[in-house]
Amino acid sequence: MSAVNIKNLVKSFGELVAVNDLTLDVREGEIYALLGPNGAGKTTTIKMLMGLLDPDSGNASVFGINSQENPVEVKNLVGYVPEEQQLYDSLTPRELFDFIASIRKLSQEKITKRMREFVKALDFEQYYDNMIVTLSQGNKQKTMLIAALLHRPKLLILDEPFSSLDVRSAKIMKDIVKIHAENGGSVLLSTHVMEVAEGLCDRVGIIDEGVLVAEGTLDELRTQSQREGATLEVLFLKLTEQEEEVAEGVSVLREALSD
Amino acid sequence: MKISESWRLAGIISGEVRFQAFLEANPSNLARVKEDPAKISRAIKSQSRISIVMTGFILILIAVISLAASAFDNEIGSPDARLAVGFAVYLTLSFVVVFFLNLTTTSGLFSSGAMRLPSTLPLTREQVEQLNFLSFVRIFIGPVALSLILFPVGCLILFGPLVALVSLIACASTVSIAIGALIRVAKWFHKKTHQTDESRISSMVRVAASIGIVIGMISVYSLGSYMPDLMRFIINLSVDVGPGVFTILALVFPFSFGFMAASAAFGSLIPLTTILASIAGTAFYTVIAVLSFRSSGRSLRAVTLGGISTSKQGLLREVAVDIVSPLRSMVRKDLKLATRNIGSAFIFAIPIFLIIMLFPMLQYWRGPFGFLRSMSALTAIEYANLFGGISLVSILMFDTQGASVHEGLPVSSKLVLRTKTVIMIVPYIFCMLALDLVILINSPISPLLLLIPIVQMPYGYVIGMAVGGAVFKIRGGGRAVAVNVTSDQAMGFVSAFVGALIGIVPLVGYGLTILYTGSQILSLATQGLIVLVMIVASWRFIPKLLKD
Repeated sequence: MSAVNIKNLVKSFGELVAVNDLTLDVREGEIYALLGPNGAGKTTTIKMLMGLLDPDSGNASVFGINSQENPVEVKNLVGYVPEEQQLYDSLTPRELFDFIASIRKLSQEKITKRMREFVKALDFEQYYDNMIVTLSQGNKQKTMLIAALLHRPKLLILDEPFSSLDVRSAKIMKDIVKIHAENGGSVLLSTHVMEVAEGLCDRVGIIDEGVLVAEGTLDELRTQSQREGATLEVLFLKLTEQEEEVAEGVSVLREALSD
Repeated sequence: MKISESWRLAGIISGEVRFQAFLEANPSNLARVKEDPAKISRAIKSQSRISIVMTGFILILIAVISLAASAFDNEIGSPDARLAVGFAVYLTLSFVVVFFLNLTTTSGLFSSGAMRLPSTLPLTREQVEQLNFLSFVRIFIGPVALSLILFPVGCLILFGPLVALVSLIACASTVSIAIGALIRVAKWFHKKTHQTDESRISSMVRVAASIGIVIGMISVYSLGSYMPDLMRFIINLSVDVGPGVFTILALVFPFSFGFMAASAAFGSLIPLTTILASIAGTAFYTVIAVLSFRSSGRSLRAVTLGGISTSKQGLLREVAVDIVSPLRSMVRKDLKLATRNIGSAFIFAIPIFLIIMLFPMLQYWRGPFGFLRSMSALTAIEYANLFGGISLVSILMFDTQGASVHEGLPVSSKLVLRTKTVIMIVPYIFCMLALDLVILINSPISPLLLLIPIVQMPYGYVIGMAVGGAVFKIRGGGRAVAVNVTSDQAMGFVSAFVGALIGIVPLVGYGLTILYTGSQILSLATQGLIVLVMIVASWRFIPKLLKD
C-alpha cells in the first residue's frame, strides 16, 4: 500500500489553477521530495492531502484513508510541519506539548521519555519553559518538529522543514528523517534546498504551475532531461524552464552591483 | 542632535509603541496584521485618535462636574468642604483615567523593543536617553497637558489665582504619581502576563489582574454619574463622625491638596489644625511626586533599553508531559491564552459589564409601583443571551494564533465547538447569578422571579452550540474556524443575533404561559422543559451540521 496516493487532483482559486491534474505516489518507507518554484502548488497539494482544503476533483489518501472523507484519521497517522509557523505565541513549548500529547491521547510515561530524548538531542532544554513568542525562528521550527514527531507518525509531511535550523539541528533532523524511514516510516517533504533533496530523498517530484513536470530518482531525472552528471539544481532549473530567466537576473544584478 | 529632530524621531518610535500595544491587546490582531496591513494601520491611527478624544472627553467631563459641584451645588455641603472634597475627587479620578487608559500602551512600550534600533545607531547614550524620554512624552502628552490645563483654568475662573496655583501643583503631582504607578504596574502586569509559571496561584493572579484592569477601564467610562454621590458621601461622613475627619483626610493624598486649596479660598472657615495638616500633606506629596518623577525616568530608561525579564531564575524544570483528556486540554490551553492578554480576558468581565449596563435600566423598569415584574427579568436575561453570543465568538478568536498547530492535529470540529461552549458557559452562568443579585436588589414582584435566571443557566450550552455552529457553517463551510471579530464584524453581529434568537425561545415559553395561566410555577416549568428539549436537540443535531 502507498503511504500517499494522489490521483488527478485539481484545485483552482478563481481563475488560477493551483493544482492541475496532479497524480503521484509516495511509497511506504520512502523519503519523497516535492520540489517546485514559489507558487507552484506544493503547499496547496499538501493541504489537500491533510484534508485542510477540498479538491475540485480527484482524490488524495494516506495509507488508503481518504483525506476528504476522514481528515481526523489521516491526521492521526501523520506528523505535519507546515511552512508558516503560526504557533500559540503566548504558550510555552511545555504547555504546547502537553496540549498536543493530550489531544493525541498519548501515554504519559512513554511520551515523557521520548520528549526528554528530543529535548536533549535538539539542545532545547533551556527554551522549554519560555514563551514561544520569545523563541528564535529556528527554535520555533524545532518546536514544530518535536510536535510532529511526538506520536511516532507513520508518515511525516514536512513543508520547508530545514529553512531556519542551525547546522547542528539540521544535521540531527536529517538523521531523524533517515531513521524514521529506516524504521519503515514514510516522509513527504517540500523543500527549496537542493542539497537536502539530493542527499536525503529516495525520489523527487518536480511540480510547476500545478503540474508534475518530472518524477523519479536523481538518475532518472538526469536521463529525462538529458543532462548526465548534472546536479539537482541544474536539473530543476532545466525542467522548470527557468535557466534563461536566472541567467538574465544574474546579469542585471551584476550590472547593478558594479555601479 | 537637535531637539526638533529628536522630537520627530520620537514620533516614529511612539508610533511603533502604539502599533505593538495594538498587537498585544488582542491575539486576533496578530493574524489581522498579515491579512490586511493597510486596514490595521488605519485601525491603529483611528484607535489612537479615539483614545485621545476619549481621554480628553473624560477629563473634561470630570473637571466640569467636580468644579460645578464644588462651586454651585449648595445641597452637598459648605463651600470649603465642597471645594476640598471636589478637588480631591477630581484628582483621584484623573489619576484613575491617566492610569487605566494608558496601561496597554505602556505595556506596549516595554514589549516593543522600540529603543533597540536607535541604540545600535551612532548616537551617544545621552541622545538615546533623550529619544527615549521624548517618545514617552509623545505618548502621554495629550492627557498630561489636558490635566495640567483644564482644572487649573477652571479654578482660576471660579476661585481665583491662589487656588489655581495650588491646583496646578496638585495636578502636576497627581500626574507624576500616576505615571510612576503606571510604569510600575505596567511592568508588573507585563511580567505576570508573560511569565510561564504553571502554578495555580500564578494563573489566578493573571486572571485577577486581567479582570481588575478590564473593570477599571469599564468604570472609567461611567465615572461622571458617580461623582456628586461620591462627594456627598465623603462630606456626610464628616458630619456623622465629626470635623476631626477632615483633619485626618488633610493628611491623605489627594485630600491634602484639596484642603490646601480650600484654605487658600476660605481660610477663615477652616480650623487651624486642618490647615496645618493640609500644608504638611501638600509638602510631603509634592516631594513624593518629584521623587516619583525622577525614579520613573530611571525605571523607564532601564526598562526600554534593557527590557523586562520574564524568565524564571534558578534551575531548569524537569522535562515532563502532562496528559489530560482532549476536551480538558483544549479548555486548559484556551484559558492560558485568555489570561495572557487584556483583550482576551474581556470575556471574563462580561458579567460585570452586563450588570453595569443593566443596573440603571432595571431601576427604571421598576416603574411607579417600585416592583420588578417578570417581563423586566425576561428582558434582562435576553440581554445576557445576546452577550453570550458575543462571548462565544470572542472565544473563537483565541485560535487565530495557533493555525499551524491546529492544521496537523486530529481534532474534530465537534470537539472544538464543545470546548468553546464549555468555556462560554462559565461567564454565562456568572451573568445569570449576577442578574439574580440585581433582580433581588430591585424588589422582585415574586421571589419566584429569582428562579428564571437559575432555570436558564444550562441554556448556555444551547446558545454556545448554536452560535458556534452558525459561525462554523458560515465561515468554514462546517469546519471549525477561528474568527477575528475585530476584522470580521459581520460575525460579531451574527453571533449576537443567533445568541439572542436562540436564547429567547425558553423566555417566550415562560412569557406565553404566564399570559395564559398567570402562574409563575407553570411558567417556570415550561421554561425548564424548553431548556431541556433544546439541550437534547442541540446536542444531537448541531454536530451533524459540522464537517472535519
